[in-house]
Amino acid sequence: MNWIKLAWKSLKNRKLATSLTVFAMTLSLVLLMSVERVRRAAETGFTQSVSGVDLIVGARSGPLNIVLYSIFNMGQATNNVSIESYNQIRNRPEVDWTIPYSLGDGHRGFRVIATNEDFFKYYKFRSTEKVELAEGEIFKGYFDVVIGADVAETLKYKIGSKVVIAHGSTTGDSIQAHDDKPFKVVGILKPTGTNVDRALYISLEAMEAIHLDWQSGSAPTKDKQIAANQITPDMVKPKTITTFFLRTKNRIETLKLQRDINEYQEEPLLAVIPGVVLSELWQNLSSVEKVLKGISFLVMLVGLMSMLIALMTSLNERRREMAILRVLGASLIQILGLIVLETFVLTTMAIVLACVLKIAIEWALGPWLQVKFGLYLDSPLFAMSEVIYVVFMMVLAILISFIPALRAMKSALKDGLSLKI
Amino acid sequence: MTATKVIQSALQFNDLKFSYGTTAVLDLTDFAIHAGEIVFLFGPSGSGKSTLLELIAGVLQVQSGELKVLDEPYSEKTPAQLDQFRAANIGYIFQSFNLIPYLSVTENLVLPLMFSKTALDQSRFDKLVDGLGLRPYLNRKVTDLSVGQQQRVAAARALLKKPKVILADEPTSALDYDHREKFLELLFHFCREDQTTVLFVSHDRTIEKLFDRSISLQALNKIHLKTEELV
Repeated sequence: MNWIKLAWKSLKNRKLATSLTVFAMTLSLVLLMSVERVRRAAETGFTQSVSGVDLIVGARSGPLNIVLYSIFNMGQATNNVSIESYNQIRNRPEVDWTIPYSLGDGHRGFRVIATNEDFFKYYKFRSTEKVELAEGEIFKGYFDVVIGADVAETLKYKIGSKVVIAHGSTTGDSIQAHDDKPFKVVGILKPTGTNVDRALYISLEAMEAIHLDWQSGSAPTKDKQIAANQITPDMVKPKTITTFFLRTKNRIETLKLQRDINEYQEEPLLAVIPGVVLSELWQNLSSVEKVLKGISFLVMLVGLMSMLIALMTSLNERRREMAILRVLGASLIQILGLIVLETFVLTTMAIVLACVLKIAIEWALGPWLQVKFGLYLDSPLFAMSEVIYVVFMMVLAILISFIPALRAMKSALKDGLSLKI
Repeated sequence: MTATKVIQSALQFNDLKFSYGTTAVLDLTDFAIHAGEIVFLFGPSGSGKSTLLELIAGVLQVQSGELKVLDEPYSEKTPAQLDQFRAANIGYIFQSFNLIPYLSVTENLVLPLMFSKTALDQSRFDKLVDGLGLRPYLNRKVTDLSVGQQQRVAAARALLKKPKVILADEPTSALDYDHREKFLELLFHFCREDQTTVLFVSHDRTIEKLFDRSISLQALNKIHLKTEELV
């Protein structure tokens, strides 16, 4: 017989109260850890919407603006970047690769991104993951379109579906449409859980092609229309792009390159480091997370209170037990220790159960969360913050257990060996 | 100093007084019990019997006067030392409910070893279990046992660590007369074999004749309380 076994048997003797207490504590811990996990997934999904990009370059506006329209499809660019400037920067020796984006059109709530094959080659998210095709191939002809997973699912598009791009609208349906030049879906991307899923991808040349005959932002009259079969490669050479992502060969060149771009003489440009802006933005968006966290802590407190109540109510019926232990030689400190030990066993049970439950829930719901909400539970199973919660709960439980423990000690001292009820 | 020191007296009080707050309970004349003596101490309910046992067990602290158990003065011991001393030297049998209800008979029997920090003497365990007829119940829940069986488990538990002193607080009051005598005969058999001192308190004088010596607490105690005053 040892102390742990004695505590365990005593808890087992009070099965109902013990299991209810453990249940309440487990639930509170699972809730706390789940909130933390979802928060972490949301943060990773947000701040790593695009990875491996050192600079995002656009016409001079604000850093937030560039990040919002280039990554999150929010707001608009104030101006374009000329293809000459783009080529000049792209050909600098310290530049590894670039991905050009030409924005401005949309399709039924999703934006259309004109880019080139470098997007499929270099675009990364969540550190190392690349954009991959679920089926089909990347665009080759002028009127080929590759669609994101969300687009395919929401609009029920398949390979070969016809797509008419709306002019000048990145979100809703527009008054003007490029209905004279419909696109054909040639590829569907795998779900990524990022904004990549919510866009359609065409070539830079296609973007030029659909606007070829447009003048001052309005659709051509019938007589001025240029038919699709009259387009020559010369006609559709891109003249401007909206923005581009840039990777340096060596990270330490990033700051110098950023300064050079910001001081670029021919054109007012702005280069931003996406990571910095993204984390700043996340800080501002995370107030909901703080509220959730606060509620979870309150739930934990409720769990601990139920433990306190269970221990307190058991004390009176256990006075005889304490007298027996006393007579066998237990000191008052050992009586106190027994109650604290019981709390330790209770809390350990709750923690182990909570961890198992958490792993099971994540295993069961992980894929669904990823597809439905773009939450990717990929980072380590237990982050430091979760370990801290577990330790915090244990410490708090032990501290709280001193209330019944001291009381048990006091009543053991008062009772002595004969119960004077 | 050798381990086999001859103990002159198992128990000795000099001018021992005790009170709960302002209510004086005990003011005893000097008294001693020799090692190995089996003593019956009687007195009506509320005469301070339990208080005296708690003092000897070291659960209550001596307030005034001297109490020596096995020649060791209690007034020099800290509460923690008293707990250790009790774990090592004193066996205690309650009137009833001696056992931890959620432990089996065996677990109850070996529980004191946790506090006295001694290893289980298997041959002694077997001897007591067989001697007290507990073999068939070893793995039973104690709550399934009759009162008489429970008291035998309590006796075996008190005897297992070979205590120098056994304190018994009316352990037979829940038994009928025949069982009472049988229980005491068994208990005393083991005590005599080990030279264990027994202090047995009771208000029931029908069993008096089984003891070496019989003393009235009222004769020892200079304070005569009315029963109500203690309640």
